[in-house]
Amino acid sequence: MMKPTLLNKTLIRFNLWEKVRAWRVGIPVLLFVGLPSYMMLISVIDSTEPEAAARNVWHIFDNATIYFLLAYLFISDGLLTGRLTGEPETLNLLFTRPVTRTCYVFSKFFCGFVGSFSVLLISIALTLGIATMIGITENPVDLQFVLSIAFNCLIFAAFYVFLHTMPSLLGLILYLFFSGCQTIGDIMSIGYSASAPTFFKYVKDAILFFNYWFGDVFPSTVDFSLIATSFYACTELIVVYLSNLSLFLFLAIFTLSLREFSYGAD
Amino acid sequence: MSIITVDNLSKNFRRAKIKAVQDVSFTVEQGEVFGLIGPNGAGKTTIMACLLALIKPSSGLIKIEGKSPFDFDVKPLIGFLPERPCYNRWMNIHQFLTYHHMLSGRSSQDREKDIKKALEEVELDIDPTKRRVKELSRGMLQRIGLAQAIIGNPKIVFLDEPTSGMDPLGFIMIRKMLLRFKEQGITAIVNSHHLLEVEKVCDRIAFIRGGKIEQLASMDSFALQGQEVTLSWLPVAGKSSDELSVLLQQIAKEKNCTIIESNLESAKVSSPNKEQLAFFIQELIKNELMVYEAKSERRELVDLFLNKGENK
Repeated sequence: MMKPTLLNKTLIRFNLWEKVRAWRVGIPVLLFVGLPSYMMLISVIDSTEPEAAARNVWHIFDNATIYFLLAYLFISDGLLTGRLTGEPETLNLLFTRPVTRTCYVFSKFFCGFVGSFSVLLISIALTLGIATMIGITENPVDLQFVLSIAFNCLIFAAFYVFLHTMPSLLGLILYLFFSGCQTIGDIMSIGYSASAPTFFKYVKDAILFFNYWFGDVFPSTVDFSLIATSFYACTELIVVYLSNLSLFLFLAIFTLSLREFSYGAD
Repeated sequence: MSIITVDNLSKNFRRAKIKAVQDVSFTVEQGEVFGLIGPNGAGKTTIMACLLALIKPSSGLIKIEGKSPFDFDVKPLIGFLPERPCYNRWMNIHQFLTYHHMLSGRSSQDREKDIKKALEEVELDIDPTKRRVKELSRGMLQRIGLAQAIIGNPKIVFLDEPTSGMDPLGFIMIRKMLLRFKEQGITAIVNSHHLLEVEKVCDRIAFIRGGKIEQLASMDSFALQGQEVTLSWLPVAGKSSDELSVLLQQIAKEKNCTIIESNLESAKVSSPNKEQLAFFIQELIKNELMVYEAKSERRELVDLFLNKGENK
């Protein structure tokens, strides 16, 4: 008799291994693995200040887009199928199998996290190796650096799982909405002017309202060294991080539980 | 004991304001091949989706082996062929069948054997590692869909339009598969538009229209409801067309049959059952009509389909 589990080994095998064997995912994964070390090599060789150039290369690992794309590679079938949203219509057959919707969410989350983190760990090791080979002694890699990457992988995997479990169009709209809410605040705060016409002020207030309430939903990368040095100063950051992580997973399970898989049910 | 019980099942799609299924009740016995037939949009696939726990019923009760279809223990018992073959297109056939074999919880030791057996069963003679799902024709997709439906060794198989996109050999393969299910005690729920196929293999059918079951009966009882046969005989010497017509009408009346149309060498006869038809033919022979052919029209389900449509 089968028992419900939190993780499904079939989903894990196919998302972490079988998919990567296909060139459409395999090549991007290799690019993510190899690109930072390649950049380290060419930027240092080409630079008059090699230590400063090397520091810039390490900042690649702070880039939110990398985490989002890696989560996308390991969670969605999009690249394999040539469709942005992958193959959501395969879910109806999947859920006739002994796979609970909670198990599906956690398995995908696990794949997103483990896949992204593994790729970045290999990438860091390669970059470190290249840096050492070309004589760069200063590097930021320590436990806090690795933990920052792990935490970033976790939050972006959870965020992508949340988008992935939505009906296709809604997932895309939510992505645009949350990323818009995050970036629009930065743009609007620059352009504030006391003499601006009232209408524009109202528009700005409306946009800042969304930025205030939803601007933190789209994940930002976390620097663990900040938290380690000043835990209490980073309370808000920690609360936002933990609440977002749990909220994404909860909403993913909740949405998937509500979804029906039949004609036009979405 | 019934393996599937459906009691007053209703399903409304609120956004579309459609009552897709209304107060549907039926039971399915173990080892039975049960057909759901009806025109497009009748609610057949919605009933199947409720049975598979893919959608939540608005009201009513479904039990599969005494448990809710949402119960985790029910899932390993089920195999499903969806109407639309939306499979993981990036996988090759071997990966696809491995995926479903693993998902169904079967032992990894039996995997290669089970995959080979399933491919033989659906008569797909290609190297499963060389062809991707996205490269397959509609008929071949249907065959690998059937292979994944049976790969977990299910106790109940749900087949939504199994003959869709199939060539005549595919029809025969599905018929053989359903007959094997009967032999092995596997229950099958078949949703099909191909009425002749349904007639040949189903034990019982439910005719569905507008989300309601309009008729639920065994195929035997359908066959007894009416039998239309065209009889042909060798030319009769010394009898005019009128005389022959009177004779046919007289025998038909005695044997409780109806002459639909007749000429000098043949007649189309409707009888209430097979026995009456046999008596009718016997009487023709006694009256020196040398009957050499009897062609059964076997239009029962088609008639049901058409007549119900006309009644609406």
